[in-house]
Amino acid sequence: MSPTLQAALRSWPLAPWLAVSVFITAAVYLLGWRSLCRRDPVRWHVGRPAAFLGGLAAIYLALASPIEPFAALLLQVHMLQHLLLMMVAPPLLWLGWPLLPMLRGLPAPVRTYWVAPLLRWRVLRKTFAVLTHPFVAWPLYVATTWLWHTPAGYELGLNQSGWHVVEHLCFVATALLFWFPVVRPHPSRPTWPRALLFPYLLLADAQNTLLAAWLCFSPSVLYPYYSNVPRLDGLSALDDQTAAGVLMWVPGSVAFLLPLFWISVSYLFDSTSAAKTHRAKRRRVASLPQLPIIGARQITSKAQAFDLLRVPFIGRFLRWRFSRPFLQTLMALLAAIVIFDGLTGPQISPLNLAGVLPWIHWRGLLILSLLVGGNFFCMACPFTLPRTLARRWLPGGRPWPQWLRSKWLAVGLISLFLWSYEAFSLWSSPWITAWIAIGYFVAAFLVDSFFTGAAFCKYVCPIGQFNFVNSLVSPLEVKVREPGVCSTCTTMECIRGGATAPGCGLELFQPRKHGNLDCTFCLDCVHVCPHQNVGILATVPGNTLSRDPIRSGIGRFTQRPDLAALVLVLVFGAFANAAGMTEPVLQWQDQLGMLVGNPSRLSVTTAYYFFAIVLLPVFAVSVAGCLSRYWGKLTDDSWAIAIRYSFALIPIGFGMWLAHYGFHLFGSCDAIIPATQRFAEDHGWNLLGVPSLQCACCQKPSDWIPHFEILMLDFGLLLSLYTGFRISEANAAHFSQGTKAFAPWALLICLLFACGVWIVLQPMEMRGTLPPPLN
Amino acid sequence: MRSNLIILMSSLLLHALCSAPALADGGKIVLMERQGDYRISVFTSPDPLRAGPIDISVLIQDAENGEPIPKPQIIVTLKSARAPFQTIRAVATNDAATNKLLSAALVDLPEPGEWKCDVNFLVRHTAFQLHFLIDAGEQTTVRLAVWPWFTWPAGAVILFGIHRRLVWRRRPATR
Repeated sequence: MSPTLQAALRSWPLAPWLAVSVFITAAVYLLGWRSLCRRDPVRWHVGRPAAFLGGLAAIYLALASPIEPFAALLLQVHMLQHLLLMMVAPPLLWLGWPLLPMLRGLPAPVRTYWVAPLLRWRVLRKTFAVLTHPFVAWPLYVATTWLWHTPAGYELGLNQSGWHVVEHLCFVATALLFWFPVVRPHPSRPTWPRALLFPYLLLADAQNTLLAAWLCFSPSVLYPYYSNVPRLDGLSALDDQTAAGVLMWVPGSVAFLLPLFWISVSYLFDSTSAAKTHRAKRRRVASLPQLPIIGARQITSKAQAFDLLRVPFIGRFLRWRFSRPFLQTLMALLAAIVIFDGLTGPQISPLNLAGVLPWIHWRGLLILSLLVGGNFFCMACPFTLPRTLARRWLPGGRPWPQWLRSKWLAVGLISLFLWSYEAFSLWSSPWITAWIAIGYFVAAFLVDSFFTGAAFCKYVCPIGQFNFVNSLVSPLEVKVREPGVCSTCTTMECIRGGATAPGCGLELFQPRKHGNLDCTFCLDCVHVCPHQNVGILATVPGNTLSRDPIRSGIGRFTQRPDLAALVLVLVFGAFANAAGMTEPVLQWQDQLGMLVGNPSRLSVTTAYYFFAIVLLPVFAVSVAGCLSRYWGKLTDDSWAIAIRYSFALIPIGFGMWLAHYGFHLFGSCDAIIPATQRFAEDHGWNLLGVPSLQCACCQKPSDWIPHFEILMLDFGLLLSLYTGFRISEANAAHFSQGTKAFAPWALLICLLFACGVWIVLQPMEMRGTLPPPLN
Repeated sequence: MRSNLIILMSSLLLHALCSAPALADGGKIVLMERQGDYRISVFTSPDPLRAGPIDISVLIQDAENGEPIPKPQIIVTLKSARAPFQTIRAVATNDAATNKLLSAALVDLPEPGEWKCDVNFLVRHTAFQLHFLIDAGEQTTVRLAVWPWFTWPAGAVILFGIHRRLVWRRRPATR
């Protein structure tokens, strides 16, 4: 084998996006095809997926195989790439009859709620019908082919990668339009005669022959780019061009003439008895009721939804009665280490486990667990472990005071924490961090010693409130599996308690619980339910935000200004907290300080937080509420509108927390290594080695981290906009009224998103890590 | 059959994701030169060249028959024209290149401006050297580099707007 061929066979470019896209498309198609094949194996024979997967493989080979890197060196390889994209992939994709399998393969809610209205859109259908008419598709295809094969067009694609992508997109799009009338994939109903395809394909072949002949017989190199690249294996640029022309001529003509031959044959044999039998068989199957492809939404039983408690190993562990104490004990051990090192270790944050574990790892993992699962930190919370163990000896029994039965205390505590974090640089003081942890243990113990239930979790704990609010966007929720079972239950152990576990300490009655708000994932309801009717079920993230039913233990969102205030503090706090570590904001704070006569740093930070988490949110939601009422001609009070829409801001706030904490976690996760080595060395365990402090140094974050941060903000933005729009729709009589009422909130959400993007693109302090070494 | 299909598709995906760890893919030709029995071509990317991560790829061929020389030893040295003491050295390897005809060196150019580039290579116990200049522009700003990441939601919002309008149109006007 020649060295060139050897090298070619090893030259596979990295194309993860393409690979993932092709894989997902193939998976959705196969899923849908399997379902259709079961109903009608004659129509949906195995040739369909073979053709469709062949088409996808042709696209993948053209763009992510050795063809791609070698196309820049050899015109014939480049021509092969274009043939795959224009003459192989599109007809194969259409031969797979992709519309129905792709629709059927999508999850039912996506298909019926999201895709169906778009597919029914008359403008879209008309446009597609016009574009795929032979009189339109043919000129488009030919014009694209000739335009991009002119020396100027080809050189543009070769010299600029962006234009090369555009060229490929043009080829694939026009080729898909061109081949559609030829294949007529089911269930399309063409309005033109089939005989039209004879001139259609013959003329296409003629123009292809003309272009190929131009390449073959040209006395000079048409594309100067190929004269200036290294020649491989002694092949001259002109010979390469001739070979490219031959490739276009022969296989190109075959691609046009083969369907022509097939159509001729089908014309000849169309009236035979075999064809009649075949059609009769198809008619029998077609007379069966239609599949619910894009019809009414299918009702799926909740019992079929994903349930974490039914997952092997994890489910079994979570169903174990002592799973929570086990997790709490682990976390309590870690907390003890943090407290011990914070009080006795070196007071340099990156060297101390109290400076690294809570502020880099715990925060990051907590927010990630909320993104991918639910409120699992509250499940493993170590602070409530001592009171749980000592409960039987504690006085308890008193109800939490009525005047404190709201979130106002928690709002104040969270504001206090956010302010003190910046004002006293909590992240840089292991000693204060240790005392905060001790304070937490003491507060939880004292509050729950005197009061019934989980008063500390529900009304006091700032971390708990953070988790409760953000877990409204989580994909898992503790809820009943079959509502019908609860309607016949008279004992109600989930709220009253039973022999094995107490009832819900947060006063959440499972059948009337909506969303994760106030749920600590303690799983007492799971353990105590005699019907085993409570699970950790999959839910659509943020779905409960747009609805406002009466929620057990909470009431309606619209009647809870304290909850709205909590949401606003957490949302605006996310942005204020992240912005507080960026260079421009720190400079503005300094400049502001100088402007008003150099007050202390504490005063500037206080003013900053008062503005960012009190004044700004109040002003923003007041204005948005008034505008929403005025534009949308709503009858509700502006404040009521503001309270309701505040909940739509949760996802964008969650996105900001994710971006911020994710940045610290992914950017500095290796900081734990030297801190642990130092801790071990200080206590006489040298097994872990000498701490390598460079490991914790301020290093350049990986290139993918800003992408991750922006992606999280993107999802936050979209979910917030979606939630806000659904809230407006619920109160609107017509589309324009809903849009107008939502407009100010959309603007506010977009402004928050713009702030978030600006923040993540600023130079940031890598807190909790050592400064860079001096060179 | 179903599990076999899943295994097959997973293997294909895994192969596709892991097939090439490097991104170097040649780029623009900056030099083609014959030295002794060899023809050397040097490519740089991105095009236009900017400060930041760049790729310098080298192809060494037999001048007579055009066959590539497998696995030559190549060292690329970059010296800033503004500050000659600022030197970057990198080894160009076949593994780092996407196109395995080439050997690629991935270097991080710290600042824009003119850079003197030396390519030293050893083929069949004979050392060769090439010199050329490259001119790197200002590094792409972060905002410019990530704009697709924060603008794509606009497309989703437009699509959603159309979707809701269509849904409302189909609703009976009873509300």
